[in-house]
Amino acid sequence: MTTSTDEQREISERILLSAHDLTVYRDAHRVLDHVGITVRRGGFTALIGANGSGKTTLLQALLGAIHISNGSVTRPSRAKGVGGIGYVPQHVDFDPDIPLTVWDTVALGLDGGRLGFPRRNQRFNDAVLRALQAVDIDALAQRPIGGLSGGQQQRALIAHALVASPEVLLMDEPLSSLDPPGAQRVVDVVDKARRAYGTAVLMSSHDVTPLLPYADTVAYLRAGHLTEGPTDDIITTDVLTRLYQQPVEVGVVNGRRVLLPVSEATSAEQARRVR
Amino acid sequence: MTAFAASALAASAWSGFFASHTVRTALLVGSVVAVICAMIGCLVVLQADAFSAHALADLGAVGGAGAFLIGVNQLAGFLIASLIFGWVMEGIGVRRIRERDTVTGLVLGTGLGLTALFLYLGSQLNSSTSTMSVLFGSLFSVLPNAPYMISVLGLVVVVALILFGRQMMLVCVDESLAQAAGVHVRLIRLAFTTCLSLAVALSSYSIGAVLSTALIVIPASAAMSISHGTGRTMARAAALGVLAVWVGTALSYASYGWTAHHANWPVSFWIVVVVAFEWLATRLVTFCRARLTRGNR
Repeated sequence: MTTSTDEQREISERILLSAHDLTVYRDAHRVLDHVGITVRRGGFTALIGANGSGKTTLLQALLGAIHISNGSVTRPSRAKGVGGIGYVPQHVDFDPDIPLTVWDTVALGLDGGRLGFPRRNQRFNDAVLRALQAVDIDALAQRPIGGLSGGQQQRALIAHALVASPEVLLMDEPLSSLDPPGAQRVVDVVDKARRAYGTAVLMSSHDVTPLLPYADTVAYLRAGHLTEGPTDDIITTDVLTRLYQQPVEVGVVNGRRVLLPVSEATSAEQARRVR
Repeated sequence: MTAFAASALAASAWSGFFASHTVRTALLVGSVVAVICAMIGCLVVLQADAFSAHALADLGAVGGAGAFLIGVNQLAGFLIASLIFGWVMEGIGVRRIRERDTVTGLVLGTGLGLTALFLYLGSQLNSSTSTMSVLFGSLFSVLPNAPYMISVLGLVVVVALILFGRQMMLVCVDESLAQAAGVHVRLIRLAFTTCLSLAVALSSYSIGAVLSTALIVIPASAAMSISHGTGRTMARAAALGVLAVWVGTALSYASYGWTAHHANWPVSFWIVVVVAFEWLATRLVTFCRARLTRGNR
């Protein structure tokens, strides 16, 4: 589908994954309306939007897991095999009795798509161990995945996505079950992978604060439309208030930006203090 | 049945057991069926979807009963019905529809109803003892070509599960993860449904439609509670299934002499009893292990 000029543009701008004019319906409801997004090598894009705005739908459309009504998605050339796209779903329902250990779950990220008997050598085992260590769950490696807490399972899924050193990492709210230090650790790990391998990261998150030190681009979804821009342009009080339809202040603490939703109680309290 | 009756009468010791051609056939067919049921059972239990297996058994029984009614090969009846209904269920995405409980009731009701109707009508036309073979299997009275067909189909299923087992497992865990790994999700789902249909059909034919789900779900469930790793779990589930078939066959053979009527209890009944005991035993092992680790702290 790409012409030679498009190909040249993609090579020069190192675009790894992109969507053009994407329209997706879910239950007769138009979730994505002519959406376009670009993910570049070494880039870190934070995907934000209110609940139900279509973040999961967009990620699944980029992955190729759902039907697209209109538009196209261009994926990395290795997408059909391991090493193309790494995906961390929002939630996986692991049966408590599932006969998979944490180690098995992460190893599936390397050879889950292969045929026949597993052929696992030392290099394979080392890669799995490195992925487990990167998210701090190597101590839990032999435990059944079904017996772990939500946060631990989420870290295992992140390791599963990272273990194959993908070119693009799509993450659907990977921080939602994690406590603040845990969430920051995960973002640090993802950024380390990005800097080491040039992995492009597209991460959706309810709380964008842990991502702000690393994200160079912010994309937000509202009413089925997506707007992309540099972090500095998007993370402002005006833009965020318009996006969330509620007053949101952007403050700076110790040189780091933080988001402060303004509620009636806090604004009343502020007014009282000023008096 | 007369060949079996003759050999059972003639042999007073267990040497007669293995000498009997009927018994050897039963052990061969039963073992093949047990292995493929156990292997596919691990995947069925993994997706907590015994509904599909059970529904397929009920629908496959319609095929078996229908074949009985019109007087053709029951194995063919089970196979054709299971494959067709399996593909239809996969095609309409029955796992994702919202009113699954209603559909379950509908499928079970219609399947059992039609099966009962065909068996009743068939028993009016044919010998009435054959109705038992649709419900409880015909492990001791398989048709001459059946062992060959069952072994070939069994081999196909085993090879498919070995080749695609990991991809199937990834699809069972989460379809988007499979998509990301480059797995062709639709094809793998179709392969899984085909293997399940074959397993259901073959076990319905050998140990009966009523009890075939037990051979699929229970050994796999028992193995899953005591082992990790797919290969090891499937191997243990297969071992438990085969053991149940052999012990069940032996018990059925022995039960011939228990009552004055000289009628052996249905072999599928014994197989399911053994399978249930195996499950209880693994529960006991898990319970003891938990107590021991708690005690050691």
